[in-house]
Amino acid sequence: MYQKNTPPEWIDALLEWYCSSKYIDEVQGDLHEWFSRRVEHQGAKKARLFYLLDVVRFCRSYRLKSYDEFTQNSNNAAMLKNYLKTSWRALSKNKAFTIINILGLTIGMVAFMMISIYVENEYDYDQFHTQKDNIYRLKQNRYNKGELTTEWAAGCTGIGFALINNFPEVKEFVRITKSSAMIAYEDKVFKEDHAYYTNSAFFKVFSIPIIQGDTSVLSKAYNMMISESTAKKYFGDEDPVGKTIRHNGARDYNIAGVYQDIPTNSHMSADMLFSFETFVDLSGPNSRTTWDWDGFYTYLLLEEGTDYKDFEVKIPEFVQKEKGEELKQYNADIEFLLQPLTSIHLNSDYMMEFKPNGNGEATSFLFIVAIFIIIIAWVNYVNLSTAKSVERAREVGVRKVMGSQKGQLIKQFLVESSLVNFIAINIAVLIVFLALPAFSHLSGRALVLDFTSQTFLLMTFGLFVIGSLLSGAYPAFVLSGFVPVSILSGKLSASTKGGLLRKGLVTFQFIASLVLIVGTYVVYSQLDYMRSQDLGVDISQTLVVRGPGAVDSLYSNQLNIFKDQLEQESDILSVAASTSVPGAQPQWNAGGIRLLSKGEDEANQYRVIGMDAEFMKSYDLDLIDGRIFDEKFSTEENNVIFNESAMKLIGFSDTQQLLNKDIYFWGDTFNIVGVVKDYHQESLKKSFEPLIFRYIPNSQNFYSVKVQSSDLSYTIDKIEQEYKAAFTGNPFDFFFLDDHFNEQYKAEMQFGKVFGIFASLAILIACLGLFGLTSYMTVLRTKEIGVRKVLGATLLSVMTLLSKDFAKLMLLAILIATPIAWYVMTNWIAGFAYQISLTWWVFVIPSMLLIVILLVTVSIQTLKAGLSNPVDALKHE
Amino acid sequence: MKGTYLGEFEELVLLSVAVLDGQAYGVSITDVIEDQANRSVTISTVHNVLYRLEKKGFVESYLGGATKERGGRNKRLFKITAEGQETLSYAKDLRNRMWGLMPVLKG
Repeated sequence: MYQKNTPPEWIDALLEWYCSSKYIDEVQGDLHEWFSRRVEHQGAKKARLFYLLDVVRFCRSYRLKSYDEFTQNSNNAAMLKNYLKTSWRALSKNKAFTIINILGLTIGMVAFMMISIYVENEYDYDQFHTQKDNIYRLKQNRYNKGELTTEWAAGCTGIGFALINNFPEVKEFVRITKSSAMIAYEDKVFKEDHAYYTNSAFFKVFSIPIIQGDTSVLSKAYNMMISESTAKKYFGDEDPVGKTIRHNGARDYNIAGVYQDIPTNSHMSADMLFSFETFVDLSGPNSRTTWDWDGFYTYLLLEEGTDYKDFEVKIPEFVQKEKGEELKQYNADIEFLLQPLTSIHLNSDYMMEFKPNGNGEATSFLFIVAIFIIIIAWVNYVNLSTAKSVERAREVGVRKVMGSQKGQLIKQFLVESSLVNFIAINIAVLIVFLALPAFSHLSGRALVLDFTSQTFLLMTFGLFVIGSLLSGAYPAFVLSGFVPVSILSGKLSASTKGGLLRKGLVTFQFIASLVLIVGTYVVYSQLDYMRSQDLGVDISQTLVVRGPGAVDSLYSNQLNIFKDQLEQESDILSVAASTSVPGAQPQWNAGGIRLLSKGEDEANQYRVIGMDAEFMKSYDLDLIDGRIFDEKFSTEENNVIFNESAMKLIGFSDTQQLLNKDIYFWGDTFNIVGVVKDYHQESLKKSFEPLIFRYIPNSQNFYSVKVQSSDLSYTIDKIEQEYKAAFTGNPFDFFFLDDHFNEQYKAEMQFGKVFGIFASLAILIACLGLFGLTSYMTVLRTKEIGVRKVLGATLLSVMTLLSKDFAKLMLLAILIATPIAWYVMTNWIAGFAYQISLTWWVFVIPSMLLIVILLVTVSIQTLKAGLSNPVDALKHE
Repeated sequence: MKGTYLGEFEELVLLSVAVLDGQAYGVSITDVIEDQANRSVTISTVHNVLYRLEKKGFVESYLGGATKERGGRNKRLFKITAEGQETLSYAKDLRNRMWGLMPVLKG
């Protein structure tokens, strides 16, 4: 049948539904006429669409039906009123029950919303760049003898330049490298941790708005751009453009522009950007093109429509063509992979990231936990409602006898679940709003609740609708399906309806809770294990002062004065200068090192720490053979000490063979004078790395001060005074080494805390459900208990009777949850070099804990039942 | 003539009602405006203006004239009132007077 030239019926129905009879004639008539006109001019499809628009546009308040008009014509509205009234009565009749119900749902919703906000924030990283779909970062893998040695987030300097000159797909490239900068303006001196050199394409590629100035200045040496907040830090309200700041006490840089702060939800952070030409001027023209110098982030802007995978596979051939011969000579290889900009935050943890990135797996895992929690909460509602169904059965029976239809009964129970869900979601939003700042702090992210955002509306509305339907549907269908005769004659008993389902759901709750507790327990055990292991290095009572950024030819003298002055203090045990301290990977990464007697193809890569004679004593490193550095030897600077891993890497297993061998290191020869035991330079997430120690007495990066002090603040004051006296014009900056070392576990600690909180919430909800369920079951069996007590049952036997059913389910849950938890946690723990073993007690302790919690919950009710006077129970009829 | 201010679009609608002489309702008025002023208007806007004019007493209305095309629904037909007529001519006079006051530009 040809129906196209009449307006869609459902839209008409919508109009008729809202429009008052006073206006319906003219409005609908005019609209129909207009519709047929549109069909002629624009076609039926468009006309139908516009028809909907028109109907919506006509919806003005004066045209709406009045309340009377609504209720007069439709039975539905009157019934809705009645449903609300009966729902309210049912809810207020059993207040404790209702509160448990609402509380459970609220907690579930809060957990779900918090996690959703967190997860959304994680996925929102770098989405603000307008060209984000065409920006890629080059990740660089270096191979040595066929083995992957380093995965760089910041690769070699020349690659971007080489690619743009050889591939038409590459539109722009951005090169960024860090500058350890101490910046001075007049009397203000700061150490800048996020200062970089970059080329002018930076602002073409990334969507960072310029507030003042011109980006082209980044193509000239000694020009720089500054972020808004950093400008404020140095210049207050003065205009920063045209001002000069002093970089590391040596060179003046001209501020040519100001850019808006890079948003926190970016994997990048940069407070100052110096022109790359400056870097080239300082380090020579080679720094523009070489492939041997790593530590440069390279971002590529590809032409619109380029498939990056297609482009990526062309790179190896290009690398072979350019550097194949050279690489073969050293038995090395280099590989470049493209990371889509928006995937960096969750999927990248390589050498020299801008800042610690998020963890994609942990984020997905957390989201799964969120879904579990909300399901547990809904399960509670279903459980409690079906358990209560017997009480409602009589009401249903009477309604049915009076002519109520199944559909109406379903509606009634859906209205009831909507009411409960509506109350819960409102409380939940309020709690989330209040608790979010604390959660932001805990998770280390700036989380905000935006009431106007689409996500928020979708989330709350979705939770409400899905929750109402899901949790309301089962009780609604069960209850409406009762046969009135059997209800009213009292044949229905509590256990017949929904028994199996209820048991299944309770078991599911137990399983989910147990997996979460085991997870939390394992995370904490692993953390505890890592932090309590002997590091092989003594980091206690150590205060590390960052070395001066700006020094001159007098530095060696200044350092000696500083050391001498401090060592005179009674509460300072030692002062050691070095290029690295424990707690981070040494930044000095040296390739091409080999025994002098061996060929170039046997060279390897090592991490190097330069230190004075004090360092090994102060940190109490274990010497296995040979000797440690001593300042009395005049040629000590030509000597090195190896750790065990380095000894193995260079090809010896016996220290005697290694000692006194000469090694080739960047054009010089060094003699091996000692071997120290492997110690944990980094966290226990990583295994030992081959380290070479060099004697560099005037190392400039860190001074480790071992203190033994009763008045720490006095000691710190003292150190600061001496520091400022020795290194005039440098800012004093220090940290405690044990804190610094534990920083490495920050991500795990945050994960553990977040996990712990949500595990507790899940258990709390499960407990609430169980509490409600037992209390109801106990009430149902009041009479039975009364009879049993009269016949001589003891308190214990009554309690056993009531808890038996749950105990069985709990055992079943433990049996199912253990392998699941084992599988999940084995995977998690595999990411650590040093792991706890997942022995039986890892599962038994959480299980016992859960059993205790649940038994206590159940006992509160059963105890009450067991203690009650049987006469009270039996006299009711 | 206090309180009888006519908006530009109101004036247009009121003029159309007068032009259509008893045959004015939502669709026909929209047609006239689209033809004469050559601008596209939505039918809901016209309806809203008509009710406003009726409230001010410039037009009066009655139901009638159902057609098959309208799904058997009545039209609300609008007629201009004496007061409406007066307002229109006042607006026209005002314009003429002010045009007369304009100095004639030379060159």
